[in-house]
Amino acid sequence: MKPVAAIVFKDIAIEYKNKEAFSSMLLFGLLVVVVFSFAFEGSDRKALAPGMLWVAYSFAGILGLNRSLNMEVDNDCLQGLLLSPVSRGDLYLGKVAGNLIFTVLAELVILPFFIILNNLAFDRILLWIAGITLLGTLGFVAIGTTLSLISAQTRMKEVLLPVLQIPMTFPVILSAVQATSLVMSEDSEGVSFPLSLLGVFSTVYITASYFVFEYIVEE
Amino acid sequence: MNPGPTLGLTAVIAAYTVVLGALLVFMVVMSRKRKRLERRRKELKQ
Amino acid sequence: MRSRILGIASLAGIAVALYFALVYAPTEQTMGVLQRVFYFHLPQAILSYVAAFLVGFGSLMYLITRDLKWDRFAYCNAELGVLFTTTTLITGMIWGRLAWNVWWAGDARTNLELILGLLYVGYLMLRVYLPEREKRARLSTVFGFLAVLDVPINYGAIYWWDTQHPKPVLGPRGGGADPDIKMAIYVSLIAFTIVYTWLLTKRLSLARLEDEVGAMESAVEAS
Repeated sequence: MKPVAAIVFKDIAIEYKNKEAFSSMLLFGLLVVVVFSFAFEGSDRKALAPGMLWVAYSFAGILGLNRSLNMEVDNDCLQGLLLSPVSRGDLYLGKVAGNLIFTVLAELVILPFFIILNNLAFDRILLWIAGITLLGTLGFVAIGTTLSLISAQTRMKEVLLPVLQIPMTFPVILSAVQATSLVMSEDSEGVSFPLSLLGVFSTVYITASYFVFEYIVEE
Repeated sequence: MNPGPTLGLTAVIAAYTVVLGALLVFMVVMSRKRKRLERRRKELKQ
Repeated sequence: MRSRILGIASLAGIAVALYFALVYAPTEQTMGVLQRVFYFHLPQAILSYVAAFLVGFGSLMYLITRDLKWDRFAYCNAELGVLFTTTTLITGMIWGRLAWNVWWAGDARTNLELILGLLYVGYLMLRVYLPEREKRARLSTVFGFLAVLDVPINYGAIYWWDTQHPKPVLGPRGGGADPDIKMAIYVSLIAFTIVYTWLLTKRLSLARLEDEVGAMESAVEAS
C-alpha cells in the first residue's frame, strides 16, 4: 500500500503546486456545460440533462488523463518511476487514484454550475448523483489510465486516446447516464443494475490493468 | 412490415451484393498488397 | 494447397447458400421476400463476434508466448472483424429501412455492433501509429485483450438499457421455427464460416510476408 500512497501523494503535491490538470478539466467541463445550455435552449432539459452532464464529464476526463500523462512523459519522469522499486501494478494503482481524485474534484465543481445553468433542483438527489459520478469516474479513469499510457507511446500520442477510450467506456457512460436519469426521476429501484454494472466494469478493468500494466511500460 | 415482392427482392439482391462485394474488395486489396510486397522482397534480395 | 481447397470450398459454399437462401427456403409470411436478407445478415453478425473472440485469444497468446505469429493472428482477425461488422451493419440497415422504416434502429443489437466496429477500428488505428514491430505487437495486444473484455460488459449494459426504453416491437427476428428456414440459416452459416477461414488463412500468409519484408527492410537500414 505504501508505494501506491507515495505515488498518489506525489501527484497531489505536484498538482497542488501548479493545478494544471484540475484547472484545465474544470474550465473545459464548464465550457461544455455552457455550450450545451445554449444549444439545448428550450428543449426538455430534465430528460437531456444526464446525457449532457456525462458528455461534459467524459471530455473533461480525457483532458485530465492526457495532462496527467504528459506530466510523466515530459522530463522522463516515467523513466524515473520505472527505475524505482515500485511494482508496475502499484504504479498503475497510484496513477488511477491520483487521476480519480482530480477528476472527481473537477466534476463535483462542474455539477452545481450544471444545475444552475439548466434550472434543475438542488436537493437530496445530489448525493445520489455524486455517488454515481464517483463510481462512473472510477471506471472511466481505470481504463483511461491504461489507455493513456498506451497512446502516449504511439506516434500520435494523446490524440489517439479518445479513439480508444470512447468506445471502451461506452458501457460506463451508458450506465452512468441511465442511473442519473433514474435518480432524477425519483425511480430509484432500477438503479441497482447500472450501478452494479459500473462496479463490474471497474473491478474487471482495475484487475486486468493491474496485471497487464507491466507489458505496457516495458522498455 | 412486408414491403412486397419487388421491393423485397431488390433489397435482398442489394444486401447480398454488399456482402459478396465486400468480400471481393477484401480479396482484391489483399492481392494488390501481396504483389507489392513480393516485388519489394525481390528488390531487397539484391 | 490448403488455401486452394478452402477457396474452392468457399465458392461452392456461397453457391449452395445462395440456392438455399433464394430458392429452397420458403417465403416467410410476415415479411415476405425481404426476410431472405437474414440468411446473409445473421452469419455476418455471428462471425463479427467470433472475430472479436479470436482477436482476444490471439492477443492473450502473444502476451504469454511473445511469438509474433499470435500478434499476426490477432490483427488479421481484427481486419476480418471490421469487414464483417460493416456488412452486418449495412445489411441490417437495408432490412431495417424496408421492414420498419428506420435506417437506424438504435436498439441493443445495432448499438453493440457499432461499438464493436469502433473497437476494431481503434485497434487497427493504434497499430498504424506504432512503427516498431515489437512495440506494435505488445501495445496492440494489450489493447486487443482489454477491448474484447468489454464485449460481454457492453452486452449486459446495452441489453439492460434496452429493457428500460421500450421500443416499438421490432417483430420476428428472422423466421421462427420453420425447418426449411432453419436449414437455410445453417447452410449459410457454414458457408460463411468456410469463407472466413479461407480469408483468414490468406490474410495470415500475407501478414507473414509483411513481417518478412519488414525484417529485411530493417536489416538494410541497419547496415
